[in-house]
Amino acid sequence: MSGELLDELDSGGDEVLAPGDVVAVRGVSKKFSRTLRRSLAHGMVDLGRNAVGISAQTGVLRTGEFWAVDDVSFTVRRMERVGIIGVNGSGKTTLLRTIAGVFPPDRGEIAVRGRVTALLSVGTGFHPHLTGRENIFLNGAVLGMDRSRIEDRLPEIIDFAELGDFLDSPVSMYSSGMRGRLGFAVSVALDPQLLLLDEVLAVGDVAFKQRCFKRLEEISGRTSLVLVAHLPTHVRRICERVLWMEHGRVIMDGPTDDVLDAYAEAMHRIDDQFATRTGRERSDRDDFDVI
Amino acid sequence: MDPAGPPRDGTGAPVAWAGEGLVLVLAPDLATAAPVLGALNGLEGAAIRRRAGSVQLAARLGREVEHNLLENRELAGGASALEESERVRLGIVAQSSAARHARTLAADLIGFATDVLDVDLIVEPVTGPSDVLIAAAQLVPAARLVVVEVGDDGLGDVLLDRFGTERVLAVTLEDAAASARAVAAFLGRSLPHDDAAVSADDEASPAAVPLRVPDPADEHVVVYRPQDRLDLGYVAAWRSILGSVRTHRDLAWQMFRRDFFAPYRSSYLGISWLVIAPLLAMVQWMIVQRNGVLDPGEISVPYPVFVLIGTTMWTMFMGVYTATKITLTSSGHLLLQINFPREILVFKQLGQQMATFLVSFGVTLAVLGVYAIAPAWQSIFLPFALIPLILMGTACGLVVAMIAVVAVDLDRLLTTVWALVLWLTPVVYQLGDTTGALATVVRWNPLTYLVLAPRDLILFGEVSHPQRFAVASALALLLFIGAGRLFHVSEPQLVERLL
Repeated sequence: MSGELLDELDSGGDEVLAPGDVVAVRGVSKKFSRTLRRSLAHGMVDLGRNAVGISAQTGVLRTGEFWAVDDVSFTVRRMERVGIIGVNGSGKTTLLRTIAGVFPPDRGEIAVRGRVTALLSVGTGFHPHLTGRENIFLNGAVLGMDRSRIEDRLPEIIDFAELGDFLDSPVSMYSSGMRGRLGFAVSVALDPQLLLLDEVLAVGDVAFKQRCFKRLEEISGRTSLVLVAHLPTHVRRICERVLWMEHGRVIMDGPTDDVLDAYAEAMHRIDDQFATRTGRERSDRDDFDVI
Repeated sequence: MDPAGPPRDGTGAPVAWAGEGLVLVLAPDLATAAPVLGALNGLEGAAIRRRAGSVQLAARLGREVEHNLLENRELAGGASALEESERVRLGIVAQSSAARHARTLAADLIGFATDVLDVDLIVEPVTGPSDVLIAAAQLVPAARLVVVEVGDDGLGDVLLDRFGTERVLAVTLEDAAASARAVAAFLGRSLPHDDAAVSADDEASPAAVPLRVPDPADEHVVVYRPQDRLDLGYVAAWRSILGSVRTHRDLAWQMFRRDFFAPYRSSYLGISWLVIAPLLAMVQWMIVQRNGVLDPGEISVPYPVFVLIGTTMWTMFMGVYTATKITLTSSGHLLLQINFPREILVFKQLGQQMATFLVSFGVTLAVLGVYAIAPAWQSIFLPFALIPLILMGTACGLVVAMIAVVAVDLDRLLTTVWALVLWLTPVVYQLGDTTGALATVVRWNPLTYLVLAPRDLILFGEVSHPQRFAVASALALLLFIGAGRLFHVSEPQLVERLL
């Protein structure tokens, strides 16, 4: 029977998104240009084509273009916490932006259920001359929260961000840590169905990171999470499933420990090769997971 | 996840739960169950002392159980862990929204909850078809049902009719404390104190874990496909634009306030610059004219008044144009991080320009007063005469906003061109003052009539070239509609060029 159930869940019928899923990414690709001028030239052509009602050439690579995300498919279930790991330039952030709807896909499709909050960098949309309080309302509105909801959540946000007397001072007077806390607090308070986090936990001091982790665990019963991180510790602590990306493709998708072990193995191999090639010492294996 | 050991929290440490009452959540849809957990928090014999930990634990356990059920029903992990704990008093089964498999899933979960875990109550937040509940109640005759009515679909009544008040209690989410009291009475238990549901006396206060009220927006599915807006016709595109502006009007207002007032905070004269700027512009033109550099021709009103009204209109046009053309380029960072309807930015910019215009128009009226000139009564039609000018400014701005992303050179070139256009439009002189080729250009320039109309209306109470004004207005409207649609269709592709 379990097989039947799984089949039933997987088939999805003619629905865009199976009922238990929050995100479905199907064959999604995203391309970029290698040089800025080339990017602008292609953009000009695309704009011209759209002006006369012709579709921009999204599905094929033109001169100087490459696939930053290449034929990626996966789903995220309700309340699932998925990590994405991979070396720099493997397409993690681009994938996250595409799920957030910041970039349209060039191939494939993405279906997303409910309210999505993407915290791709800390303090986005803060205006330096406005006070912390004013920025909470502004940032909340940018993230899709209505005023009454922000008012409800105001004490919680202020509490988490530990603004104290700075609440009514301009944000330009804040330390980067305070800005970071404020940005994170507002994003999480939106109570999204899906939270997209990109390396955000990499900023801030240890205490802030701990608070972020605690917060993420508190909301885990209500919110699905896709976390992009370089550090395996972050992923291991929060996620139960991990996608490993390389050159825009998902090369492994499975339980956290399995994927991280394979990833660590691969990183060690690269480190070994580097050490052999350059004659330097190998890195300490334990460093890898606890940086 | 390790099925053989007790559930662990995200840190890898076992969750401390022995000796505490536990709410078990077996649910793919916890969002709906959360308010109920809150309402039942103070229930004697089932107190969730560490609400955060318990809810979280239960959530993880629920997911684990669900996964196990779907895979091979190895429930050993969850079951053994629960057996170590105190007897479980409450089982909460939030219904899966997957109607097709919900019945089976719910039945499995309820069976598990009652047989293995000795659960004696099932609380079901109702958001979907009643057959799941009915199936559950039939399957587990001993189970009592607390139906939390979230919608207005009368499911509580359906179940009450079917199973009677002994087995079914219907409560609502509106008054959590009253619901908790009702549930306590239903179970023959008592609440330690009435406001227990909202008490904040431990580390996991309601503020720390806000309870989530089900939101219809949670079920709304959005699909992103390549070039998915290209198929939108003019009507559909504009309906989409206006729809998102309506739903995001609060955001537009917040952004307007930010960009209109915030820049003045760092200046000594502050908001009074709104008044000073048009006055300074007028003084500049007066100096030019008094020194004989500019001969505006015979005019029946004092030159300062004439030029002030003209430049007020021109400044508004250029303000709208300039504000619109930087829509994308000036918000690059925000646009690359957050997905929100980008048209909001255009409307925010327009609002800002309108507010600036209102202030400078107030200055203009004051100057008219100084010269003892009363505006013609026809000035009440001024808004209608201004709309085409605004539409033209926005349309030009939108086109350049798109071009500015991919061809900065063209934008820079156009900046020079606009300085020239000022002289090709009778802003500081009269229409008949030019001769030769310049006169022809001025006559064919649609901006001529769009600027003349509001000025003539104020000073002379009439539009001097009504037909040409009508043609120029129609042109402005068509350009506006076309540019708006092209912007809506192309902005998703343009944003990625901002990288």
